[in-house]
Amino acid sequence: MPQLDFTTFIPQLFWLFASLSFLYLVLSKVALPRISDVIEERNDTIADDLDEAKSLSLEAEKVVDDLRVKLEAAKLQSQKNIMSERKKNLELITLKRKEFEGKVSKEILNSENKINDSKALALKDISLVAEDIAEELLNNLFVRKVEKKDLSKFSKDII
Amino acid sequence: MASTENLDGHHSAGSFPADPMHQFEIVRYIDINVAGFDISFTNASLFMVIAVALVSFFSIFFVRKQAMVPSRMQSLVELSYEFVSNMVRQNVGEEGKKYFPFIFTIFMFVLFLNMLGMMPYSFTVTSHIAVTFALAFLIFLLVTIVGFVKHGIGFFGYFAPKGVPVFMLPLLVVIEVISYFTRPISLSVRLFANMMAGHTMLKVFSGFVISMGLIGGWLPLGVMVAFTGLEILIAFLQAYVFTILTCIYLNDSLHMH
Repeated sequence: MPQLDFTTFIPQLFWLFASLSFLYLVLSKVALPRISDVIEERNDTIADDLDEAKSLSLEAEKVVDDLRVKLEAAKLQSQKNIMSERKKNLELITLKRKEFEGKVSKEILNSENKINDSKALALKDISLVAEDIAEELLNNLFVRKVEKKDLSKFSKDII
Repeated sequence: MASTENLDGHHSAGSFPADPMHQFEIVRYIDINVAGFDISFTNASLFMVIAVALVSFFSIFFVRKQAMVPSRMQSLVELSYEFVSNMVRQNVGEEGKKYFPFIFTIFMFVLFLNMLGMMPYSFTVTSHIAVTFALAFLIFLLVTIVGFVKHGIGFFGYFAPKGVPVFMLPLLVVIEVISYFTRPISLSVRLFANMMAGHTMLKVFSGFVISMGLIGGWLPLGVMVAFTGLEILIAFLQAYVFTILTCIYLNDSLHMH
């Protein structure tokens, strides 16, 4: 068994310790600090990015909340505005209507008065004409002259 | 014995075309001798150097841009970093952070040695008990030192768990001491035996493929393919087990029982 050849032990052990110490020095002084730096830096970067993302998302949520509140307020305000406008318009409409109705009723009254006057006048004319016609008729029918004042009394009674 | 046969190129009838243990032989490439110590550059040294070079290259070159959105290879490096880092955090806790570079080094080193061993014609450094035991003993020493630095003499209390009846103590202390001191052995033998057994088995089956010829060789070839997959899994698993046991030992030293 070559493993038990003691003459090979010393060179093997020497080279083992030489190479192991060299490797230990290289790794502990050069390689491992650099690797751990990279890993730490990456972890830091990831953590920072996550923090930033979290704060940004919080900000976004706040903005959305603000927006919602503002939207709600705007809705309320617009409803209020609509109500007040409607009320104002209703008042205006009723006012205008009343004004118009007043005007119209006055016109109607005027017209009625005019009609009544005209009627009265017409009636008066009618009664005069009727009297004349009646007088003429009676004079032609009867011998006796009929007095006009009797007739007017008569026509008044009829009308 | 078998290896000399192999080197001579003679195979007796029924023997394997290749000695399954031949792959574990240490080959000296450059003979170096410093102050009476033989520190020759061998195939084991070569693969240790390759593993160190690969790990260094991977962990530095692919992270050179330090990109926020990593490339595939940077991702791979970061993945292995976080894999070991999680292992340390879960088994040792926050106090283990100080020891993370050491544990990461151990994991990467063993993993690459195991994986490099899976390449054809390569050499598996971790299939040598000398190497795995040295590694395990290094860990054992460090963990013990950490325990004494943290708890002082109180670390001896580790061997006498609290809440145990007094008459049980002599027995329990002996058991605890034995289990503590067999740690480097179990840790090193587990890795070494797994690596050696797996590679030996692969070699045996590859020997069957050749000796059973064009007609009969397909079955062992299929088995070999399946075992190669299993061995890659084991190569990773043993590196993982080696590292997690290191974490558990470290945790015992830091927090006692």
